[in-house]
Amino acid sequence: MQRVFWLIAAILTASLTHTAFVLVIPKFSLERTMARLSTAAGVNTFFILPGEERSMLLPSFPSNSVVGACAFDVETGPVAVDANMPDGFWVLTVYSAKGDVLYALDSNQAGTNSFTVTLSKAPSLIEQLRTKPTEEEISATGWSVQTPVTEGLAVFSQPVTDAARSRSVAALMMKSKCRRS
Amino acid sequence: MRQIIGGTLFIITGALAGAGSAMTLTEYLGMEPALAGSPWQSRDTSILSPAHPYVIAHYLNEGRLPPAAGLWREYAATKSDDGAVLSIACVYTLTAKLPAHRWWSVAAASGGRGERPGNGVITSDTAVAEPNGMVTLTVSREAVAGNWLKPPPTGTFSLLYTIAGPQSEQAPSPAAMFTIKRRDC
Repeated sequence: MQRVFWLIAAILTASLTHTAFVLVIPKFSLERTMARLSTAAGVNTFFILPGEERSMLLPSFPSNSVVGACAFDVETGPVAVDANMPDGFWVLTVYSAKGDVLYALDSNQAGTNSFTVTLSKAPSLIEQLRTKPTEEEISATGWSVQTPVTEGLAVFSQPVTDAARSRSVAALMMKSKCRRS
Repeated sequence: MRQIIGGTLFIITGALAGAGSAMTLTEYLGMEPALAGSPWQSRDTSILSPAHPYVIAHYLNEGRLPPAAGLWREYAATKSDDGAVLSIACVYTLTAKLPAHRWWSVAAASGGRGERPGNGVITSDTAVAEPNGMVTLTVSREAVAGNWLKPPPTGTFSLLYTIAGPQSEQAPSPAAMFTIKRRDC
């Protein structure tokens, strides 16, 4: 009987450990990365990633690529990202703090290099049932992302091989802003 | 006392089994070969994939961001077409007929887990294709004429081939795969 008890305990321990290794530790790793990246700039502020961080996060991009990011927190309200992207191929990806991709588009899908994406907390099921969106809210959903996880990382990246072009791309991308809306 | 020791051993075994299974599944679950017999493999990062939590965990554990499904497709190879592990001691030739107007890159990354990636990356912006659309890359320690990709400085390495996905206007057709031929060693 005791052996059965300890066997069940071992199975439960295995399940908990397995879950921690798959769901908790990777999430913690990403949160630590986000905290490290946004140490200087802070939360809800646009910044350009330094070279070494860029190579770690996006190893398939050449070393002169320009990657901008905004570590956002929409717990207390929506955050707007005013993107100012250069000509050429670029990609915007919005990740939750769990590493899930919430939103992604590239330059061809966007059709424009200047746009605003609004990030906000997804309403709960009860809030959705109780509140009816206004026509204004419905028409404004084109460039908006709702996330159930309030923290995340919006990453703007353009692969660049030429060092001189990299500087001009970075200067243009730095005009992007991340702000409370 | 014996019961406590025995019970503790059960718990420790359970914890090791949980951790070991998680690490194994994170490394191998969700991987699909690009083509039968090809050394290239990819991970399905779609949220609809049953292996989604393990695939995401794999990227985050490596300190990387998962590529967005539909926007990118990423393939990795640790061996050449003849099954030999990729090593900086050898020269490799990668050949593919790639569709035009589709962004792609090939990077040579260090083989060890957690090691910083090498800086060798070649993209569609700089690679020169032949008139028939064939692209040939050479991976070697010494610089060569043509499309040259420098591997990391030591040991074994892996190749990362990233291509804009099917939902991007840049990529209307399926990905073409590189053959990896081992030459001089």
